[in-house]
Amino acid sequence: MLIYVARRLVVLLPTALGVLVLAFVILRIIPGDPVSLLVGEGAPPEHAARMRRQLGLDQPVHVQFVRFAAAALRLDLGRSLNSNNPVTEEIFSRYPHTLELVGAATVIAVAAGTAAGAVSAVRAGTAAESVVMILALVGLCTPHFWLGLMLIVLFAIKLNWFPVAGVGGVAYLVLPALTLSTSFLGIMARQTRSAVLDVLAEDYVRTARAKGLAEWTVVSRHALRNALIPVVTIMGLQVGRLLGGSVVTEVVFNRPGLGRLVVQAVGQRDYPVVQGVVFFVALTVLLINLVVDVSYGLINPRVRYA
Amino acid sequence: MSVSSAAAALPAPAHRPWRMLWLRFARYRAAQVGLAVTALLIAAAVVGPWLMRHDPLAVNPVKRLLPPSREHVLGTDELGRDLLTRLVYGARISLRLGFISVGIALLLGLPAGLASGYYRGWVDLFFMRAVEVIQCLPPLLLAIVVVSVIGTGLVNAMIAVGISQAPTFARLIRGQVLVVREMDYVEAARAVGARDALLMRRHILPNCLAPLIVQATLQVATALLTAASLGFLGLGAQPPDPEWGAMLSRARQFLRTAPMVATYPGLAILVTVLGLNLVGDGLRDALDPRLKR
Repeated sequence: MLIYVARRLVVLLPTALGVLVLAFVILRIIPGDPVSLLVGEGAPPEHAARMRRQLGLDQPVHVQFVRFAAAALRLDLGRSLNSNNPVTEEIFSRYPHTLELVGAATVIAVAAGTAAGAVSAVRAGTAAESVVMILALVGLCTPHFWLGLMLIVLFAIKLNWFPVAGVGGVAYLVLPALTLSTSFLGIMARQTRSAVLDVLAEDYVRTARAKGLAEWTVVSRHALRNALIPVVTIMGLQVGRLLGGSVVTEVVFNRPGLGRLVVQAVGQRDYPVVQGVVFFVALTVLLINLVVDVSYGLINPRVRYA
Repeated sequence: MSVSSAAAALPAPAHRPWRMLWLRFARYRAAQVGLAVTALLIAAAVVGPWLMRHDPLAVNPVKRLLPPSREHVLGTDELGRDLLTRLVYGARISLRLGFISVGIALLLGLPAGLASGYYRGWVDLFFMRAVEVIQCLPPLLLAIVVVSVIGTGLVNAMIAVGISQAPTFARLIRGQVLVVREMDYVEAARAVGARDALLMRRHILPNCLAPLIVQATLQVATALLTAASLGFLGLGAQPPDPEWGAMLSRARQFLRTAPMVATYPGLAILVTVLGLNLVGDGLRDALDPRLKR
């Protein structure tokens, strides 16, 4: 098991290096001279020269990259051009808000999605199945930013059940997490349904039924557990997408997370921050993929870590 | 996964493949609804603007945030512009965003996937590593990063969304090509002396089309959503353009007094994306008869 994890980590290395290159490239492919863009036109030349030195742009490209990579490994991603704080600091102060949101949305989507999917598979051909599948599709197609605004109008402005925006206790988390969870929930419901349908046709399910187990036990113990294996793959992919969706959700609900940070940074042309967010989000996605790979074995004893 | 054989497995008579496809497609009620919705929206986008009596950009402060009336069927926005007119013009912008973005994604992803699957070896290694790295970023974030480099605006939004979708197509086509290139008819064509370019164009690519068409339809919906998100964030289409996402972002400030202004553009996006998804699902079922649903 440990050897397997170690091997997966080694396989990840080239991709992680690629992520570094991607983050590095951003600052270098801006059309025109990034320095004059950053210091503003008509700035004194010594000002521009200092900025150039500060960003290391006076060095050959390969030297620049090695320096950038070495610094990134020490979690030094330069300073924000806007606040002049270290980029890592800016990111670490925002990331918890984003992770909290993504975590809550994942819990909602996985719990409700697998339950709805399993129900619609077991009740295949009934109205319940149709309703679940239609809702799942609508969930998939609803723009997060619009749903968020509609939830605010209904539950925050009209009914006054939840705060309109901001961060704080659980009350502040409910509407954004619901908003963000919808597309993931829809996908989970659809995938779980088709996976359970497949598994219900298997011999071992017939065996379980034949030996007289209660239908509930057959579904929960035999069908659902096996059906979850392909679903876990989807989950890994989707959590990454949630990180993207959280950008919009954070803007709607004024949550000071990573998404709002990157939107502000793009608006202010604060490239080191954009670079930093790219680096950390990509790293997070890589780690999630690793966790998904390893967790196969935990739910599927047929996977051997050879 | 060998969807590639799907096209080959179609029992359709070779001379009427489109009719067969249509008959299969028409079996699904949901797909028909989706097609009707999509056709209606495209019609609205093409001819709608000529039927509108108002100018989508004409500002009239006296008429701001009016409720629906005979003159303004859906009311007016915060600058007194007719909402229905703006929505109809918005259909034109949003659909164009969706389709052109996917066109750009295909332009980038198709050659990469084709080369990867056909030549394999280091070409494959290079492209697939690149795809893997790019896919570490969620598509919306990738689009935002691209916008941060090339700037905001309608055209740049198309490019950004196109780039964010290209990896999906590259992967899909590569997988298809890897299967199709081993087929006997490809072998036969190579044996009679067909060169690489001809093999790819005439024998391999056409047999990868079925899953590609399905995916492209679904991706138009995703592209439209991503582009609208960019518009909402202020990084895509810019005001006063009546792009649905940008309209929502303005309407947000009047959520308390005029929530309906924010409701319509979102509904428009939802209906469009829903229609395209239904068409995509229907196409998948029609093109791959072995799929059990």
